Amino acid sequence: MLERIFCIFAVACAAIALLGSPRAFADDAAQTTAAVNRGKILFLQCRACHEVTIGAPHRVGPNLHGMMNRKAGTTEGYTYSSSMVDSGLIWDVATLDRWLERPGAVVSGTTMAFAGIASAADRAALISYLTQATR
Amino acid sequence: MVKLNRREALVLLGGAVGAIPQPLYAGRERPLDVIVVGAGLAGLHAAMLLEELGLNVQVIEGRERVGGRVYTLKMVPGAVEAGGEVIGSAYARMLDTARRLNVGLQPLRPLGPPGDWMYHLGGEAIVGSDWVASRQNPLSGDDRKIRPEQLLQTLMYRDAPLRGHSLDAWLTPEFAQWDIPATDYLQERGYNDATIKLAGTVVHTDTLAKTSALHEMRRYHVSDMSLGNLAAGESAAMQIQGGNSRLPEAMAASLKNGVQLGKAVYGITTSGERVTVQCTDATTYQARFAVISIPLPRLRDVLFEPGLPEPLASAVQEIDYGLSIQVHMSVREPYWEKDGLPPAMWTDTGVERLTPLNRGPKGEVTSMIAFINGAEARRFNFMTDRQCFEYVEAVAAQIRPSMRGQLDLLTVQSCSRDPFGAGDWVYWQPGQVRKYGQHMRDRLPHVTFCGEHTAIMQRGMEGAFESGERAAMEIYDRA
Repeated sequence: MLERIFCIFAVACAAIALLGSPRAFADDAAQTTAAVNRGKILFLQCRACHEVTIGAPHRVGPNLHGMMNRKAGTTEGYTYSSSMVDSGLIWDVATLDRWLERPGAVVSGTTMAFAGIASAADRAALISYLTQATR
Repeated sequence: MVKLNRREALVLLGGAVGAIPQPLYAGRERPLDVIVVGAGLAGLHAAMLLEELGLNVQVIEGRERVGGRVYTLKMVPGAVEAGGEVIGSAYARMLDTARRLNVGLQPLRPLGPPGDWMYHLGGEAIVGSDWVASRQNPLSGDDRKIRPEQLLQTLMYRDAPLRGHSLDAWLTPEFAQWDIPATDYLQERGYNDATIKLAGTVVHTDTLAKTSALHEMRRYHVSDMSLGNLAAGESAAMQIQGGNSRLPEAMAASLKNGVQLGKAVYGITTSGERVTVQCTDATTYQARFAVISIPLPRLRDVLFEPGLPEPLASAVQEIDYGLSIQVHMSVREPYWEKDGLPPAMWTDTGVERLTPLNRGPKGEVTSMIAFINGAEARRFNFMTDRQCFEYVEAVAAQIRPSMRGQLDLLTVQSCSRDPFGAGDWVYWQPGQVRKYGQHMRDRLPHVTFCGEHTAIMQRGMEGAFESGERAAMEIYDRA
């Protein structure tokens, strides 16, 4: 019974959230768009090595299509450093954030020649872009 | 160095503007967002990115050509590269830029001498294959097989602490303990003085003792990592079809405002929200931001107002650049056929390396080069080009009689003799990585620095691209 009341309460809350604040949704969407746009600019630093669209070739770095939440070092057709293959990393948002701050601190033998992004907001923006562009 | 205060600098500046009725940016619809000083790979790459990001950019260059230390010697048969030559397969930004601009690449031509080296050491002539048994060979055991020209690289990178670490590891505190004289590093590893002296023949700065071991092992670490991922049949290293100069030329041609040549900069003044760049031909440029890509020895002659922050100001004054000189010659007869010895000479004399270059389409000999670096290169600072050639000719005839009268001068090329180059590349002295390594990217509010000396991960040409990219992102964020 208690469970059921809780369920009704949760549904009601969700309904209020949905109906009551369309403004909040619009703000979220605007923020996401801004982050993706910023991320796209930051990706200028990545594009020489990485393609993002399906079927595009690997360059100096692997094609990133479908990378989110995938195991590191597993893209077909690309030869990774053994450190990357053995890293056991999963490319979730938290891991990507650490990686993009300073790749060498996460996988010390990485061959990725990128120093990193100091700003947490910029890393979040780049991850927003990557999430969308590599889907 | 003479320092002007702001008022004096502005008076000078006022005079210069007065002398030129139309500053170069005048007449354009938009004022400049960014002035880029130096049209080498770093400056050009920064300019291309900033333009792509919607900013109005003007590149100026002191020389009458673009490319900086990328320079194909068109006057030498075989289009010999004076500077940046090998494009590693992991030179991502450089390869990507060539692809975007439709500049063709080709596998690297053979770089070494045709055939074996002939050594001339301690006054003794030694055919390469006799090196292992030679009494001039200071090494022991299996190491006796290491050739003199490979000695420095082999010893510095053998079990080097940087191996297996990411390319930025050299800047981390963990590796600061190796920021010591390269000679100390080798001594600690048990190499004798004669070995260390011989290894030092190829060092680009004065002596191995004045070179940080961390710098020297980083050179080989970066080139090791830059071999990159090779698809089957792909060459490990590339070059630009028709000469590497074609890439900076194409980059310059892609810019909306092009590159203004012959603009030697001597003053960079920030006043309010404007940077004013003063050139020796009395022209000035104004922009909201400046990207300064010129090498440190050249930067020493530029007056900053306000001055550079410490420790960057000291770094500019103190950091060494590699010294070298190339005397390019034609050869009349194949002298090596007369004496039956290997054509290329590797010596401890004042001409150091003297070899035919085989850059013909079928690998035939096209020219001859004397390549001298480090301390030995200094003596040429006091010679005219003709005197440089006469010195090489005299030493050649002395150590190899068959060369007498066989050489003719084509051109003398030297970054360290060039007022706009002033050195091969940044050469960290012991202790300088710790002191200045993290400060090469320091900036003034409206002025950002780039160039291979500011790169974190890469060196050489790709280091220049890396630094130009960083500078462009910094400026974009502030603009």
